[in-house]
Amino acid sequence: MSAGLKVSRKGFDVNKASDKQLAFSSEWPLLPIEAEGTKAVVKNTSYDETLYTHGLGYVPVFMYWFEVSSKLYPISDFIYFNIWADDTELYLDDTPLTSSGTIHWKVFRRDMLTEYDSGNLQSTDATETDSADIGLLVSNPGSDVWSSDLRDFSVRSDMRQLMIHKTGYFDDSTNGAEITHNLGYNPMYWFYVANTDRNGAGEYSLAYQADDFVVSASDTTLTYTYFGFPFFYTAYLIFKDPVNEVG
Amino acid sequence: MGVVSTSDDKLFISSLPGYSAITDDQEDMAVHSGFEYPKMDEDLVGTIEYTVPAYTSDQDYTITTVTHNYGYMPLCQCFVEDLDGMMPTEFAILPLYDGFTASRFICYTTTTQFVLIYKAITAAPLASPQWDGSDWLFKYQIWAND
Repeated sequence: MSAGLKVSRKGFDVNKASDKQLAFSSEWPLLPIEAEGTKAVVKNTSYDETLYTHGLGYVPVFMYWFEVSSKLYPISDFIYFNIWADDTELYLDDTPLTSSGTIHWKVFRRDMLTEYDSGNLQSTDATETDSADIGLLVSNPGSDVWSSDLRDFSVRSDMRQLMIHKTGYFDDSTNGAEITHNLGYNPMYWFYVANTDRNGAGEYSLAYQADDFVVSASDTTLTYTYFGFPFFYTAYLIFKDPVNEVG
Repeated sequence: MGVVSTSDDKLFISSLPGYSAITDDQEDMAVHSGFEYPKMDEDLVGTIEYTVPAYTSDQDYTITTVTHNYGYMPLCQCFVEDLDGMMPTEFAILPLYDGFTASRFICYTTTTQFVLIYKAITAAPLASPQWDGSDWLFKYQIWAND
């Protein structure tokens, strides 16, 4: 017999809430932030340097944003960053910068090359019945649990966390795959590829949906297709969160 | 900056099924108080539908703004579903570019708002405004993290 923990989001009965209506559960992982940082970059300067040596021994999930003129953009409108991670570092690789700004990066404590499937425990949504929150606040080490700054918290039941449903990867023998998730809704996702056209083997960068990389979703599957050659190693994360509804 | 986690913190830990919260690795934990996690206020997650206007000139169209008033620039992400796409239920994460016209959907945060923009651009002479009149559905998340 195992003991567990599940905490519903504000407004939902924890005994009736569907998986995605939970704030978190011991049945599946969240996405812990291992490290974060910033890097100021200057237009028309070429960079070829380590952003962070993580030393985790595996390729971690990561994400980055770009700040320009007091605006913070996901991924970047301005330039195509070649930022990749391998099993030792996060790297900014010879990017032709067209705007000055600041890269904001985060490295997560999760191996992106992990085959994992949490399964579905409760797929049927509960009706929202109560706007009060009688849940759980966990502050960061050294922070007051009564802080009004949301950045002082590890997790909170009155907020949504990114709950991981399924992760995995494919080798370079295929240009696409259909991934079964059976969530009952179109799920949110992140993709990474080891683009050996420009980087070395084992160096994974964020995959952009574009003319040559397409992602489609249904209630049961997530499908990616790369219309290029050679094919690339591809890793994915699927979250317990709909990509096209608030849910 | 660098490591922000405190993996030796033992205040609140819940392991995944089959693992020990006391002896197993952080990667086998469901939640651990020594780590901060991405998190979002319920009121700062939403969807919006948008029809691309007929092209008249290169310009920006604001699709929506959402006020957060955090006082800092929070992280955000936004997905888009091409409701008229060639493939069923085709999705992308912003920014999304039209490879022919250079038109794009972008989003950003300021210290007070999340802003979703359609930038109408024609990269003449190659392009025609092929997104004109097309329908899109956006899902945005404004994180509390910065």
